[in-house]
Amino acid sequence: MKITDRMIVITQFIGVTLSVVCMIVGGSIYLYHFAWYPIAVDRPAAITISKTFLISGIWLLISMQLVRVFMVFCLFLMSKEKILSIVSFMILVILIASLYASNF
Amino acid sequence: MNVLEFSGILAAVGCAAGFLGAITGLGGGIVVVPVLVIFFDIDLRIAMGTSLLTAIATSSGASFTLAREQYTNIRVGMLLEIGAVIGALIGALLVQRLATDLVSFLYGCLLIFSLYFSLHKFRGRLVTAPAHKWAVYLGLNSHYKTSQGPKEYRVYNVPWGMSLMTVAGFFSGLLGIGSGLFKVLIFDVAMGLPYKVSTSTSLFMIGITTATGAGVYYSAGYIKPEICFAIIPGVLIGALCGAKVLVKSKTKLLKLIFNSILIILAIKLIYSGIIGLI
Repeated sequence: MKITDRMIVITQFIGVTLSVVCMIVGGSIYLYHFAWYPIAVDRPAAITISKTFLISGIWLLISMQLVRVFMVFCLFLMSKEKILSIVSFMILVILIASLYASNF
Repeated sequence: MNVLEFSGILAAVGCAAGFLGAITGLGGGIVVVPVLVIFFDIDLRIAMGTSLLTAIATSSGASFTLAREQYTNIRVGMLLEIGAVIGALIGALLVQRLATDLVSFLYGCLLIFSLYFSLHKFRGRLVTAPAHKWAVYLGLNSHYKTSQGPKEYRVYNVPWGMSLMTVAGFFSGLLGIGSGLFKVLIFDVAMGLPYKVSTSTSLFMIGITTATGAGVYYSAGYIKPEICFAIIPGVLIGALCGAKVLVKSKTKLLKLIFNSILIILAIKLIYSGIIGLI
C-alpha cells in the first residue's frame, strides 16, 4: 500500500470511528433521558448535549470527505499534475461552499 | 411506541436494509428510503437525507478495502467527480422545490430501473481502439492486478462520461442516493473500464458526491440526528453481514425474494406518487 493511500485510509478510519462513537454517545444520552429516566428533570439540557454529539458525528462523517479531497489535491499538487490539481481544488471549493452555505 | 422501542426498531430496520442492499447489490441507502416512508410514515425527504448519510458512511467504511485491493483509479474518479458534485448540488437544491409526490414517483421509477440493471452483470468491453486523447494527455489509462499479473486497460469517451456523471450526480442530490449503480454503468459501459475498477472507483466517488448534497439537505432540515443515529450503525453492520453471506453462500433464492419485495415497494411509491399528483 502506498504511503498516500495509507494516509487516506487512516484518516477515513479515524473519522468514521469517531463519528460512530459520537453517534452512539449522543444516542445513548437521548435514549436514557427519553426512555429510562423516569422524571424529566433536566430533559432540555440532555437533549442539547445529545444533539451536539449527534450533529458532531454527522459533521465528522461529511468533513472526512473534505479531508479525502484535500489529500488527493495535495497528491496531485506534489506530482505536478496541473489539470488534475485544478479539478480537485474546484471540487474542494464546491464542497466547502456547499457546507458553508448550509450553516454546518 | 416509546422512543427506545422506536430507535431499536429503526436500528433493526437499518441492519436489515444494509443486509438486503448488500445481497441485491443496490446498497443500503436505496432500500432504507421506501421502508422508512411506507412502514414508518417518515417524510420522504427526511428518509432521503438519512440515506445520503448512509452512503457517506458506507463509502468511508469501504476505503480500507479499496486501498488494499488497489483497483481505484483516482485520476478518473477525480476528473469525473467535478461533474458529479455540480450535478449533486443542483439536484439537492431542486428537491426543496419539487412536490413530494413527484419525488416519490421518481424514486419508485429509480428503484425499478436500479433493480433491472442490478440483475444484469456487465463486463468490461474488450476494446482495442486507441484511448481517448484526454485519457492519454491526463494519464488516465492504467492497469489492475489479476492472477496472471498486472493487466492494462484504456479509458474511452471521457467527455461523454463526464456529462453522464453530471446526470448521475444530479439524481444523487435529487433522490438522496449514492448513485453507485449509475456510476458503475457509466464507467463500465460508456468508458470501457474493467468491472472491478469501475465498482472500486465508484465507491471512492460516492462519499464525495453525497457529501455535497448532504450540506443542502442538512440546511433544509431533512437530516434528523435522532433518526440517523439508529439507522447508520445498523446499515453498516447489515452491509458487512450481507457482504459475508454473499461470498459464502448461494444467494439466488434470497435475491429473488428480496428483489420481489423491492418491486412491490417501488410500485407502492409510484402508485402513491401518481395518486398524489392527480
